[in-house]
Amino acid sequence: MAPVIALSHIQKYYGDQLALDDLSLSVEPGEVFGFLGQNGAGKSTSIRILLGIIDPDGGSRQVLGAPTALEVSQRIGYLPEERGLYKRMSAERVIAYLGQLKGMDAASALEQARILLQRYGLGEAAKKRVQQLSKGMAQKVQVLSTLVHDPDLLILDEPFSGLDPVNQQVLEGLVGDMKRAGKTILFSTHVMQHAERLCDRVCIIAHGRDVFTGTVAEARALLPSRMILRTADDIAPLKALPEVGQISAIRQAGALVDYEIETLSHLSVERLVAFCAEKAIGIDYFTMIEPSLHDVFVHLVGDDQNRPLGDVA
Amino acid sequence: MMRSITLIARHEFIEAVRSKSFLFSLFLIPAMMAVGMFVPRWLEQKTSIVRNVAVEDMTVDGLYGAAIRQALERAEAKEALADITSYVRAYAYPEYKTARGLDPEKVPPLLLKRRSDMTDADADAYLENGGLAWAINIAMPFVKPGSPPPVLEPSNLRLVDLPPSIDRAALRTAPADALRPWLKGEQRLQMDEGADEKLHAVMLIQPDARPVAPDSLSALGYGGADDVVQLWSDGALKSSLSSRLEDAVDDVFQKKALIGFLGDEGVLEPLSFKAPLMELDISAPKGRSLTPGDMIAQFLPQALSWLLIYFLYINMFMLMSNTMEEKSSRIIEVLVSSVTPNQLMVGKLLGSSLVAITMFAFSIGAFIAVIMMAGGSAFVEFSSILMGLIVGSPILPAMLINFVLGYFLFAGIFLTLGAFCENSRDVQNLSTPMVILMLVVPFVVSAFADDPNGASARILSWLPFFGPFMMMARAAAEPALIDVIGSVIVQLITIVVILWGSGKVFRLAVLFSGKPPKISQLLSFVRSSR
Repeated sequence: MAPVIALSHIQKYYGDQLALDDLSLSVEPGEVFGFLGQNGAGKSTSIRILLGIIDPDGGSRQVLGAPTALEVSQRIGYLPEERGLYKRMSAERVIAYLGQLKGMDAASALEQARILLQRYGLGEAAKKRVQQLSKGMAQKVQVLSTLVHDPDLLILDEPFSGLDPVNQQVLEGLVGDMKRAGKTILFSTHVMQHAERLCDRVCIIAHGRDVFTGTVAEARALLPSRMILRTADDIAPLKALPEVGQISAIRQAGALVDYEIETLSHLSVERLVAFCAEKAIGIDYFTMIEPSLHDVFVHLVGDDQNRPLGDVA
Repeated sequence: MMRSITLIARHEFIEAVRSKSFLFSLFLIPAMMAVGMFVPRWLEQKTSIVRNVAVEDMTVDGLYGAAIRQALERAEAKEALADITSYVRAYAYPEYKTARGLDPEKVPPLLLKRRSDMTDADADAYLENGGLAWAINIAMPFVKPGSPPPVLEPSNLRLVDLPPSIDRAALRTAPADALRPWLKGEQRLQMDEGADEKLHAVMLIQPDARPVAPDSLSALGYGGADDVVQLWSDGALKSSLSSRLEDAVDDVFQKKALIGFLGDEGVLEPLSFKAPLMELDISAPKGRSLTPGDMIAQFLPQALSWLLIYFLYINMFMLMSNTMEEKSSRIIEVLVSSVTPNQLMVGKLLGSSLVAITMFAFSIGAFIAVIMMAGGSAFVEFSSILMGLIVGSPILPAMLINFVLGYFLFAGIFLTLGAFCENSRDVQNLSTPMVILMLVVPFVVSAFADDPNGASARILSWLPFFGPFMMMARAAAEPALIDVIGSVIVQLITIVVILWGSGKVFRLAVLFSGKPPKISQLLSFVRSSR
């Protein structure tokens, strides 16, 4: 099946500044795809190029089989990072209007707006002007305006930013609903927990370059997992295991010491326990720690932390 | 594509007409019209009192007093007759009307006359036959049923006799002392109804005013003396009333001088004679008489030019603010991901035009309603003639095309400026030079409109912004076809370029999230971006 989104060797300059450097990515139908990067890494620029809001200086793009997203804009729902609505319009009318711009007729756009507002707890706010709504409610209205025309592809730029934990939960639920409905979702974020919970695959970019694309599991596999082992015995014999890397003591309570053991390759719990028994190493407490996406992200883009960020996008 | 443009235009229109500021502006103009028409009339009615004026002729033979009184009564009769004929022209059945007014073959000669055509004989007929009732009887058979009743300007002059208790001898030697108690209101006139009223003014014709000698105009009794006729008041006489009194005195003295000089009352007859002058132009093979419709050539371009300025002015801030608000509220990004910037701009332009048309139509409707309510037949007559001339004018289509082009040109510029703005202060700063340009263009054009097919006028016709105004001014002068077509093409191309640039600026504004770009930055991005 053809990918829903295909960016190929995209380059974009702002003046002399290279904002995107040979960026390629592909999003498959029904996938939840996370687009991860620091602020200024080029996420929003990539999304705007994808949507045809700006043009790339090099490379090619395809969205839902079309060369420009405007040709298929009726099948795309877009939530920009910087949000805004017509402040003097009522919630239902603003959603309906944006639905109409996406090809809906007036009556069904208004009806669908009311259904969505009701479904997501804003039924009573339907007729209120946007300027009368709380910030969280207005953000919800904007999210709903991206869904009103039942798009096949949802592009959400930093959708969780500015939302309180409850509304973040609601939005995660909404993304889950969309995924179950077979929609393709691309969202950008720099909060890894959301990506970890929601994404099938992620792309991590730094300074306009793709530094990783793959599943969350593949991302985690980039870093060794760790174990914490508490014992009063000498654990030096463990170094004999080929899977074991660096061992460091991280805290001590009386005779008991917590050791962090880095694994170089997969080490099963059974093999470790058997080895400890064989070497008379008592185990008071033991746990395995898988690397998080956050760890992977910091590992991949951490070196760039101090590089200056671009002024634009 | 058209669907998106229509949708955006509709949205712009609906949002604008729902706003309080629109409703305020909508009712402001008619309200001002109503205030302008009704309040002075109401104040006049409330504060207007009839002024009692005495005319005292101190000449031995009473040469002038009666004649001045008669002249004042005739003037009032002519005013009333003119009001009636204006009323008939406004409300007559269509079959009694022609392009030039009422049909002379179907309507009595008196009703064909305008204010300046009324003669002393007409006034005398009015006064002798019962006044207003007589005039209305003549008029009503030609007036459509259901027309409002005629409204006549009330007279504010009552001629009274000088109270007998005033010392006549003192009037000659010390008129101020003799009249002061009366004109100050300390002494009051006893009226027939038993009420007492103030004496407002006294016209004294001095004893040395003499009959005119038949041999020389220099022998006129009042020659060289300014105070032969004195008009005394407490200084608060309305200027319109003193003008009427002055006109009457002029009329009487001129006629008497003429009779005295030529020695025969028959010399007055030519004064009411209308010379058989007919203006003709050569646009028809055998020439044709100039009709009121010809004034359209002079009147319409100027009117449409200022109407265009008015349209733009009332829409200018809306055009700029809407674009600015969409940019600053960041909904811009959703919009440009749904429609092309050019569709957006064209939609906005059309939407704003609809708002202007609505406002204009409402203003015209309110204007007509106010006139109807005010009942001024002169206004009604003027409006109906005007509408007839405008609608029937053969040059109207050409003018309207240029009107629309001119509107789109300037409105496109305002949209573009709005895309540069980040806040209302920017709107204010950027709109000022455009308002100046908007006002300068019609003035420049009018300077060259005297020679509508001259080189300067032709060059201006081909320039953006000047073209629509110049072509409106030239419309009646049968400009060369190449100028007509060329000007339209230049203006169309300019509009497309403006809207394209405006869309580009609007789209680029997406990049400057949160930090307003400098104009130089935006211009450089417009130049460099694809």
